[in-house]
Amino acid sequence: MRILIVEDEKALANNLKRGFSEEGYSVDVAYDGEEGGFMAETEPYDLIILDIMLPKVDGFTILKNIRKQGIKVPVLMLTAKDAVSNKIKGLDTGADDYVIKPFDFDELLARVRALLRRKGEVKSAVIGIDDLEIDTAGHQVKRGGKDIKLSAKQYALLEYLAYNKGKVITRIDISEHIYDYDFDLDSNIIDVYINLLRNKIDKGFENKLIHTVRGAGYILKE
Amino acid sequence: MIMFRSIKTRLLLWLLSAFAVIMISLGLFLYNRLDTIVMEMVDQVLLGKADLIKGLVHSDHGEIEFEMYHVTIGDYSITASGHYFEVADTKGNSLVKSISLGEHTLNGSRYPKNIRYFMGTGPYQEPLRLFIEEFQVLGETYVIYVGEDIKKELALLKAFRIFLLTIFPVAILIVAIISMIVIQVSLSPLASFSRQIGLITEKRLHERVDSQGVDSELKYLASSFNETMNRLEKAFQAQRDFLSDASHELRTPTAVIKSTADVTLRRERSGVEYREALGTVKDAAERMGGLIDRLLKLSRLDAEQSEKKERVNLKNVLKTALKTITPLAEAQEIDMYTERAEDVTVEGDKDQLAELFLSLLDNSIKYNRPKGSVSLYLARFDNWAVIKVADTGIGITPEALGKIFDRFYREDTSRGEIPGTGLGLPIAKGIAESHGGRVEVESRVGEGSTFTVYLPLTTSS
Repeated sequence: MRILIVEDEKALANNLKRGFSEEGYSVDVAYDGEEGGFMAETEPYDLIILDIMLPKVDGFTILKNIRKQGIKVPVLMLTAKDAVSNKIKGLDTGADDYVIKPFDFDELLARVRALLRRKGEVKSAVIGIDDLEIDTAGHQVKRGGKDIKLSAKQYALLEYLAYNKGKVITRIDISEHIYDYDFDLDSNIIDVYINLLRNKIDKGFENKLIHTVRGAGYILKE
Repeated sequence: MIMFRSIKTRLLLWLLSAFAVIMISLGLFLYNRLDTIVMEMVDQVLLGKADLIKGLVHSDHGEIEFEMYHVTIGDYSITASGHYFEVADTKGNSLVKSISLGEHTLNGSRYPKNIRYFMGTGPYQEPLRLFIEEFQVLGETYVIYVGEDIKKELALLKAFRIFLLTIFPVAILIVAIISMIVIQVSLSPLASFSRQIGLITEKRLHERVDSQGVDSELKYLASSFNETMNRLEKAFQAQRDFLSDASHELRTPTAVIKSTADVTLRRERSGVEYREALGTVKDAAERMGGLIDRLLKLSRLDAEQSEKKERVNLKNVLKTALKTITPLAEAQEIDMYTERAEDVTVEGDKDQLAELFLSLLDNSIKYNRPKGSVSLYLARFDNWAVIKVADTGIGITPEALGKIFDRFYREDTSRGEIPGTGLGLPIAKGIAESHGGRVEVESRVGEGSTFTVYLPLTTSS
């Protein structure tokens, strides 16, 4: 899952980047409204965390612009403005959630997960496919009741496939949503990760869950 | 004397005392008049009778004779009838007297001879009005006494006195009741006015009293009350905005501290990472501390006039401020030059004035272009000390020019790029104003800004 953080307070932005990265998200950061707006309009993010008071272009304007272009990415506004009128304005402009500084990081993570789930069919924190269980809150994966240990990137890949279960995911989708701005697209690396994941998820099971769609990409289904 | 603090009581007391004074004066006057009229009537009768009796004294062949029989009948013939007369010679020998006197005489030491009308007690202890006159017949001097009992007349006067004393408290009571009603009615607009005012609370500060619907006497009160309320409401709003802005500014460093702790504590970290996290927390805490200091300073400047009054040589203050800021200027290769620095002394708080100068110098460097310059000017002009700080910096847009002294206002372009709290200029303005002065600013985008401080000179300098 790829997240954009637009926040001018550098220390705060860096904390968020670190926290989300450690949770397996790929994170891009913009420190002002101009850069943030550009990135939000050109890159396919799964979620945007947006401050309101920003240099150059404010958060409301960025939000208005991306919604005008039909980009439906979930937007979570993160702001020090606690007036109810600001909350209403944010939600009416097209924000999906509104968190006031200072916030609890675990709560922010939970809200981000909830917004990511809302996009697809998934409704609860635990995604189940056949006998595979993915707990998106605790990052725990089980198959047939047995724990499976995954690296952060492997988990991120599995989670992305799980959020989009039953849908074909191209290599480009994966590179755009699992890796951040600095990643150089090399589909071989993705194939390597998919194979590693297959070894852990499907190896020794009769029913394979990760399927290759020839010429298109991969799909996670029963 | 709390009861005298009431307009109603005071009005009533004034009215009643005025009425009492009028009533008493009128009563005294009327009683006096009546007394005079009654006594004049009695005296008229006495004089008439005296003339009649005098006429009865006549000479017959060189002898004085009295023909008293005409008047001895009637009232004068009945003992103690209250009507008396007597004629005596100057030696005090009674020559003739009315039968009504009986054994008594009017011609005695009891009655003086030199007063025409005398009030005294009669021979039978009745109140007596006496007419006494010397008269001459054929060269002989005689004294005539005519007396009348004035019991009836005194009774009349007494009745009138009692009437006055009875009617007085009744009249006062009636006047008091009427006054109270009148006062109540005429003060009722005040009561409804104060009810309207009473409805205004700090939660309903926008409410006003109706200054058009009130009586003309209250219009001025109502409109000046409303003006005061306008000012109060504005001040309240400013305080509310300030509080919300302040909490907003404090939230960001709090969020930095909280998120640093949250993220760091999620797993075991290396010493380097902990040190890094603590460094971030320290920076944020320092920023918060600085912000709180400035907020306190502002609220103190709001609350009171500068209390410390000492003679401050602005040239020295400027020199010290310049020394403090020099490292910052050198780091950005900004040339600080003093155009003019006169010896100017004002009265005030030295520390605050130093901070005012530092704040302006700090801005002139922060918002300057690299290798720019700042020129300083300190001189006396009329009754003012004038301090100018001119930079060659980025300038301020005309839209922003009106807002730079607002609390927490920061121009968008500077937000995130140049560190600051948005409180420096408001504090500078607050210091200048607490010294009875002001700060003005001129600016052109791309060319630079000039801040001018005016401080009133001490009267002695």
